[in-house]
Amino acid sequence: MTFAARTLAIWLTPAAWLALPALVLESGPDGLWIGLVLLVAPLLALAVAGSVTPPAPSGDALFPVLALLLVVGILFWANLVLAGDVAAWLGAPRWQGIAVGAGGAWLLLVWRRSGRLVPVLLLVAGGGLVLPMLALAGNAGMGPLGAWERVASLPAFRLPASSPWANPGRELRVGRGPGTLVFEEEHRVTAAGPAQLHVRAVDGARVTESDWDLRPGDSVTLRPGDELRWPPGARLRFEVGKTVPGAPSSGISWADGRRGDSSRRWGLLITLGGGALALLGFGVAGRVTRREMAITGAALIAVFAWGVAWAVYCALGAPDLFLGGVAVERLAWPPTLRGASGVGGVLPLASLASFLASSMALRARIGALDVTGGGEIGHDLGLWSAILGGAALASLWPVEPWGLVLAACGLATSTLAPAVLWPPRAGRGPWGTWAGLMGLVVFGALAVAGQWTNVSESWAGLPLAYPAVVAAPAAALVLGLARRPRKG
Amino acid sequence: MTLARPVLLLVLLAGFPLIALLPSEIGSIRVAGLSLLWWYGAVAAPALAWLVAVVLHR
Repeated sequence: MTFAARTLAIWLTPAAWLALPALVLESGPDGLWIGLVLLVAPLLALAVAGSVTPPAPSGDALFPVLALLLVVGILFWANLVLAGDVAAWLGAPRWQGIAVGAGGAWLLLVWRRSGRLVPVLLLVAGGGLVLPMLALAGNAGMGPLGAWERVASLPAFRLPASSPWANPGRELRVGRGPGTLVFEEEHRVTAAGPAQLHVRAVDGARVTESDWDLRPGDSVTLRPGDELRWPPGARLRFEVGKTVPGAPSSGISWADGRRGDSSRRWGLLITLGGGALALLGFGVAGRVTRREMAITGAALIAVFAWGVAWAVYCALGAPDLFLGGVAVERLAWPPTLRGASGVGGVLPLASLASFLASSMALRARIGALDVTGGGEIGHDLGLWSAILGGAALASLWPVEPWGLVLAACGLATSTLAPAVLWPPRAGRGPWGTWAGLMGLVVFGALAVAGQWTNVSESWAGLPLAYPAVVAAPAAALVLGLARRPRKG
Repeated sequence: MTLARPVLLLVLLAGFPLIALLPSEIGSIRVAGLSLLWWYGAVAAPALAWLVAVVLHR
């Protein structure tokens, strides 16, 4: 397994690289910056890890292995959720997508020499990214710069006639909770099947709530400012040519974005930067050559460029992706590609190849920490069957894959990253474990509190939104105490 | 620890929100079809990050 392939497979699982265009599409420049952090974080991690003195062997390897197992389990969970979401988007039951992903990873676990497949699978995934991109560019008839200029000049994002939500009509997001849409112009919504709709109309100071029990073919007209809610499973048809509810008001507002709050930026930077440091730098002793760094950096830039261009072409050719908010699985097969025979299903296959490569690279990463067992833990059939099975079961419950990627990175930042920056001195190895435990407890407490609290987008809400910003310094504090010279 | 590479990479990341905060919406000015902010975030910063990571690698 080459260094570049290993780094890419560990860091860029499908839940991370497919989130990149989703974030750019959803947030414009804010999403672009997050993509930039995803690109720079591994370079930063490799630069930092190559600059610090390697830690003295502590003989206490259990905690890092357990912490990394937890991180990898969450990453598996994120990617299997995505597999389920993609399956649902393609019209199959969620469990089938989860079974394909988990089953494939399990089969490679059984085949002990499967590690050599990682570069091949990544090449397959790379080809699977490029082909649909060429198809979209061909449909648009222009390069990425021209496409961006066109998108950034759009007066509004309007529902195309080719949209599945225009004809024949479909669920907004399969397997998710009740949906809400706010309309910016008059819009007639038609039920494609039996549907119970709730409309909240605001007329000046007066608010009217009404319920509609629609049969297939029945319509309800909504006015600007009206809010539509419906239960899961309702299939609806929207009007062609009307602005897409949930989309930015215009291409200009998408391209300019809103001024993102700096607390969120700090949280993301620490979480992703620390996550890369832990995943790529913890316990890694070998030196990275300049050539390896050049190839890895070039590959990261290629994925970043693909993500940005994919988002731009999707905004131009499939503005219905904005309907009700951008969902990452829709980007795996945008509606405009449905008619493109031969390349439409390539991106889901690329995601599968990428996930299989990541599953092997992440197992090997943990195996590399198993100094006493010769890396055997990376092939432990019982352990990895349990992790894959647990992640697959958890994936049946839909959550946001990107949120899980951030949780995994936050956990890695809190438990392992501080020890990369400030490794305990010789003879004080157990302090690394105590520091990691401190990070784990603080991260867990804040993450749980964040689930039960209404987290505000401000500096005060930062520790609950990104617990690693507090947990990692807490762990570093313990390591700082360990680095003090002994008295006497 | 040699700090040059990590610090330069962090400066590159910090450049993006700083351009967004420039007065008179300078980041929104279009140059060759793309806004300055997008030129920086999508083209200049990734290329510079690669250069910093590779050229300063020891």
